[in-house]
Amino acid sequence: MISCTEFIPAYSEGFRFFEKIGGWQELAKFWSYLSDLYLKETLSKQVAEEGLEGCYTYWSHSLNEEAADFIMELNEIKGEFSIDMIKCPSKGMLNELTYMEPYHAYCDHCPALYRSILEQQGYRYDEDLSNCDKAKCSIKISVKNE
Amino acid sequence: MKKLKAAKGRVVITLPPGIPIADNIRSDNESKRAHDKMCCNILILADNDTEVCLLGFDVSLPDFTYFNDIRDKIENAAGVSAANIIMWTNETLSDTDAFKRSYQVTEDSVLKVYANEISDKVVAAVKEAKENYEEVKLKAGKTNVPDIAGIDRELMTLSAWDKNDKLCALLVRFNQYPAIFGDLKEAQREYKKPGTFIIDSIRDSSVLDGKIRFVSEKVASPLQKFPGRKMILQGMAVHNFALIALPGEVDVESEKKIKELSPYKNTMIISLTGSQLEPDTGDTIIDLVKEKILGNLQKQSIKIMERKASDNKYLHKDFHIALNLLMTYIYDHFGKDALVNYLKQYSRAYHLPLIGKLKSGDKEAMVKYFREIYEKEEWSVNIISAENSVEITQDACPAISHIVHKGGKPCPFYRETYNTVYKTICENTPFEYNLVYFNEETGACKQLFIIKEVKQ
Repeated sequence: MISCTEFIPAYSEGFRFFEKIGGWQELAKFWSYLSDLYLKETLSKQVAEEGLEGCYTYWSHSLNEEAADFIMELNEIKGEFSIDMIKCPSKGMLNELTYMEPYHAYCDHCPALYRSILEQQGYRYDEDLSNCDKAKCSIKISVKNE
Repeated sequence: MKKLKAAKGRVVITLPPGIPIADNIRSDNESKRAHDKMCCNILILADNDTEVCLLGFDVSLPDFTYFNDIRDKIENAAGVSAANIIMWTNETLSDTDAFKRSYQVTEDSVLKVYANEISDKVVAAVKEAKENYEEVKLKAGKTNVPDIAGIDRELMTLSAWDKNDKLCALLVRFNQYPAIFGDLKEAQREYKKPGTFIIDSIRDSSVLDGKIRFVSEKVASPLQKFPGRKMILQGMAVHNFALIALPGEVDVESEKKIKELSPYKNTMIISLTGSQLEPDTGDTIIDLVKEKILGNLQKQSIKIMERKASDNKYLHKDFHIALNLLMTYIYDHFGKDALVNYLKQYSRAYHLPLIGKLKSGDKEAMVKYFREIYEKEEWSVNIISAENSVEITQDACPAISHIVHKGGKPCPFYRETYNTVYKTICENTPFEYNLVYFNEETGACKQLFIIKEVKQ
């Protein structure tokens, strides 16, 4: 069994596997597939039904279950939703597994999974991954015509 | 994008001849005929949780007690919460007090009969409108109308657009008077010169994305003529648009102060016009709006969540679904051998410390690993640690159970997350792994780790 608590290293190794088999393109294809299927009934549906608040609903569930260290804000007046990830549980776990090397572009999976879904629904997706090696990052999702 | 619904309606409520009219030059104070139709225009906005009904009357009606009566009737007949019905009277030359005085005269007075007829017509029209909801996009915008008298030059629009991007309803608020229209031509005809600025306001509009936030508060009336009475203050917000409904008409300066206090870019104020508040009630209204309406709307429109890692347990079962999709993708695109190779790669990388312990024959390290992993999964398992073996039995697999529970289908060869993973970690160790049985549908299985030397 691979426990859900062991998923992150399995995910990271999966990315390495795809890159080895078919390069970056193959990995991008997988991320696109995962985005369509994994987020169809969750983020995609929640945003379609609730607008920006759907982001809040989705990440309230996942970030709490993943025991992340974060500040999340929904500001409907500004038309913005943001996450300030103080410690990403996924990258944090990989950093702590000092005996195995995280996939070199592990953090790229987040924009790959989320951006297309949110842009399709009329939002702008901005991320700052400049400190992702320290398990810190931020995202901002905003209404495009703001 | 948040899906909103809108429904609209209109019902004719023209004053019948004989109705007493105040503020006119006739000595008998009786209307003789009507030049134009008078209507009650209806706009209902809704999302999954909230429904707000806007009613604009082309005639000055009795005070809010009469309005509350209509609200209750609509709630009973059409199911719209009375608190969520915003009503106003467009400016006419008929005076509310005159109406009110006449309304209270006798049960069979022409005005009383007329007032009751209005209630019935409006209630029926709201009920009918609700049967024709359509999905809409809402837009809000504003512009300033130059060269007009007065100090409030702002013209604001809230427009509803159908799925073909056609304007289907328009709420215009200009010079303190709000009005609902069915289309642009109608609005321009009504507003004449300022009508050209309606287009500017619509052009300035941006789409409103978000849920309908709503507040309704009963407050003590600041009117001396209604001591002890409760009046209703209401507020609706979607995205950067807010609509504040006041129980009486306040002065322009007070309205401007309310707009300045509002955090919403587009703040439309709707007064129950004709029901003028008394002098010096403006500041009271401003304070009430700030505290009871804007504050509460803002609390709904802005949410902040702050968590430390230690606040929660790490258990995100949906990762089982993500792993299943990853495995399914590999199996579908590259076959079973690739799937097995991926699982071997993962096992050798992630389980390196455990493999090291197993190489030294540390059986208890294996038992500890399994006990901890099932405990983290909050899953029941039977682990028997004998002298030379470890036997693990489970009635179902936590991963398969979650995948199936969420409507998914486990990847063919999902069993390899057991078989391949544990055979791999036993490579070059004294242990041998045997998946004794495995139920593909539930993941019920028995696993056996045996120390090889003993087996021989």
